Amino acid sequence: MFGFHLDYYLCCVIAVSGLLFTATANRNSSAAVMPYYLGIILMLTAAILFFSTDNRIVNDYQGGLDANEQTVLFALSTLTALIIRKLFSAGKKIIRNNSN
Amino acid sequence: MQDFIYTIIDFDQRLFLAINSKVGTSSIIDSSARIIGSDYLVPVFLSLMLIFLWYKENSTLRRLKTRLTVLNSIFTLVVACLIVIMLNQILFRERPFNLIEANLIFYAPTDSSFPSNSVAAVVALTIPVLKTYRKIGCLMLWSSLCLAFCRIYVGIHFPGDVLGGILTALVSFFLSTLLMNLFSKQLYLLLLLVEKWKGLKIVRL
Repeated sequence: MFGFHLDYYLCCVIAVSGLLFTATANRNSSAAVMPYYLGIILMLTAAILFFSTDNRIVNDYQGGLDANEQTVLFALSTLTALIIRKLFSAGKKIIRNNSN
Repeated sequence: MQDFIYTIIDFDQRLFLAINSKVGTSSIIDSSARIIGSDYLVPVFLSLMLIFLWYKENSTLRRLKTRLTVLNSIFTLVVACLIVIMLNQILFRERPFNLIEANLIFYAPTDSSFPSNSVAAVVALTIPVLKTYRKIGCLMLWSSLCLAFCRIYVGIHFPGDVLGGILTALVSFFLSTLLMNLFSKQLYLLLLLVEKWKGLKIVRL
């Protein structure tokens, strides 16, 4: 898609966002199953997107990612997913306040 | 003693060839093994499981306990990586795809085959969770074992390397737990800080 590093980062952001949906649904233990399944679908989408768009079985000196790069990119993607989630919640709150 | 070692190495090679000789029988199995054995699918899945555990609990006490398990997983991973680096300095084993009969359907790594770095890492992430949370731990263990098997199947590790990786993870878990017990008070304080400090509000759900 956009280069190995960016692809990995974007797919991790999608996967972690999905996981956060699932974790919140699990934590609230409410009857709402929608966020739970949405989270699982997002995680699966991220994996399919990553492996279907390019050849990912590459050595780290031939364009793949080494362990350090993977760790840093995964941590960054987790942080990004958390920020997106916060922005999403804030947006929802504003819309709810405006409608009231 | 030398004869015993040669017998084990010979058995290891024969077991590898028995598994690896199935390559080419089904393209679907081959592609699945390449994806499962890759550096991305299982490690990311295990990391996601750790994040899930981090945010799983509602009550503060249980949350602290879960987060200690996650920290133990991370420490075990770091110790396992250090042990693998040290072992690679003193011994080098050729990769199995250098055998004439082997089939390679993966990229060709250049570092030592023994112990399996990736297996050591994923099992290191799994063991502390398995000790505390059986269901999630079993799920993580199965995915780690799938990765281990796939790496033999695609031709980049001997079964002995995988076993070495698992042993490395077990030793590192033991060392990491010792370290965690030594610094348990400080770790609790650190986790409480993460829990209460307003500056870290962004990392809370």
